[in-house]
Amino acid sequence: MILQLLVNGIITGSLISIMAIGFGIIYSTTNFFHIAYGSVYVVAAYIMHTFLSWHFPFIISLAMSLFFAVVIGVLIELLVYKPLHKKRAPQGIYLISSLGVYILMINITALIFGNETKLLSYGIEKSIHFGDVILTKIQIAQCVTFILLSILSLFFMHYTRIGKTIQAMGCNARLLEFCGVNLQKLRFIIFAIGSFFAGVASILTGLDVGIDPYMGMIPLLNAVTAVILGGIKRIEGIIAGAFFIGITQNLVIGYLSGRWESVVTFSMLILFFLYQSGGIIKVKKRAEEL
Amino acid sequence: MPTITEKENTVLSVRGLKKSFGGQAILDDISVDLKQGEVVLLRGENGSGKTTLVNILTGNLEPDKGEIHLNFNGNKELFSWPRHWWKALNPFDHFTPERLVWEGVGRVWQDIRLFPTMSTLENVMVFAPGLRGENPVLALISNCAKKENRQNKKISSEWLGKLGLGDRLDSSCDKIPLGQMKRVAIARARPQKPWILLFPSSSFGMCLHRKLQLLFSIRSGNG
Ligand SMILES: Nc1ncnc2c1ncn2[C@@H]1O[C@H](COP(=O)(O)OP(=O)(O)O)[C@@H](O)[C@H]1O
Ligand SMILES: [Mg+2]
Repeated sequence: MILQLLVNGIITGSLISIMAIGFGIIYSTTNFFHIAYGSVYVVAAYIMHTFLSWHFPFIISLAMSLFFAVVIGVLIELLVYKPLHKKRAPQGIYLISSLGVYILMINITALIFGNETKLLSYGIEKSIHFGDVILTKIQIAQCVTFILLSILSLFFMHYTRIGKTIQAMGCNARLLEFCGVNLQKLRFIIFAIGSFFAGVASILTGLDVGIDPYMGMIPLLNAVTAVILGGIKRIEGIIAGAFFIGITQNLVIGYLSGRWESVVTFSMLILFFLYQSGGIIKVKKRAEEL
Repeated sequence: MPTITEKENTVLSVRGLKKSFGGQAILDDISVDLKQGEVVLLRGENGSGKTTLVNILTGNLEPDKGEIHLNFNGNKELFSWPRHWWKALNPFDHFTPERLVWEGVGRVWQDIRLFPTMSTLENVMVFAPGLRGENPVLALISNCAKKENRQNKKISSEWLGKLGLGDRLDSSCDKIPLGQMKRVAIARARPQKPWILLFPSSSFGMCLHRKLQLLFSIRSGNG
């Protein structure tokens, strides 16, 4: 049983990782909680559902869903965050606006598609036995996708020019302008990449357990927790945080009850906030040199 | 005030620059001419507006009035204020730090200003503007982008080596001594290939002679 729980934990951790890498890349560079990320997650799943219901092949529906996830993510940046950025709005304003966008998009989704759970795949998944451990095909797909995406993003962040630029933006965005980087363009790229990850996580989850308009909040909060626990500076840290949460949640489900799952995650988050040192406080800069 | 005589090797000329903060004029009718290969010292009392002038010349602040002419290797640019409304409509003609870096204005800061959690080498590499690898798709698939990146790495590490930081390429910039941080800040000006380098002499502890030598070698680096 412990083995099965650990394997389930790894699968949960994979899904949280995908979500958290995308969230982390946005959070580490823009320094605000992009809550509307949760609604990108939801809408991506519904776009997949719509294309499937129009009898498009799976692969085209998948591509369209990811494409629209990226478009929606960039549109949120363009229509909501960019104007705030121009006005140099304080962090709190971003948070509230983002929450507003989240609620708006979730309600529109619910209005169009209804509140009930819908499925992205029909039929009962064939399960595969490895000794005592049981896995479904979609769970294997979740793990494999995670491995591919994490290798890709580690390579991207450590060995490419744009990866270094994104890392530098996390340190000091204004200074990056003096490297000849167009910050606005870079923000588009960052929101596009992040939203792509949300789309992938959403579809992988939807194929497994179905979709409903309120499916976004828990994965979002898991991602936030993973990013906070693991530290935003490194993707390795985010993945470690995600796996820690995933495995803990599954052990709790196994030995206590499913109802305690979220309680444990957020207790960890609160404990971390209470006892961590530094990180939240930023070094002050001289105002006159801009 | 110098007279307006257009000389061949003038790289920067500023005319009638005005800037005020909250109604108080900090810069009033400033004119500057810089020629190629020239080292100019900007002096003034504390609060006399030196930093403000530098902030304007790097595209950080827009002046209220005046003209800035750039002439780098025959590539001429004119920015003038107050700006006409039709100029504001053109998305490619904005006066931004990023634009001026592309034109060839480099800057070293009084307070050094490195990217703290990145290595010294990465700090220098990031300062090379306009590489193809800034496009995420090209960064992953294009060989040109990879080649450019390797070239950039080579130049940046050579330059750090020249400044005596050859064994510090992988050190995180928030963990090295202040003197080395300053040298990283200077090394960063290299991949930028600036035509003009704005340099705060006050806060850099190295002897002036060595600094000027460095300045000249940076200039000669771009012919
Ligand atoms: N962003 C700003 N807003 C308002 N006043 C400013 C700003 N930047 C500089 N000043 C004022 O402009 C004056 C000149 O400052 P500064 O350019 O830093 O002088 P210096 O660098 O020569 O010591 C100072 O009185 C300063 O208070
Ligand atoms: Mg000053």
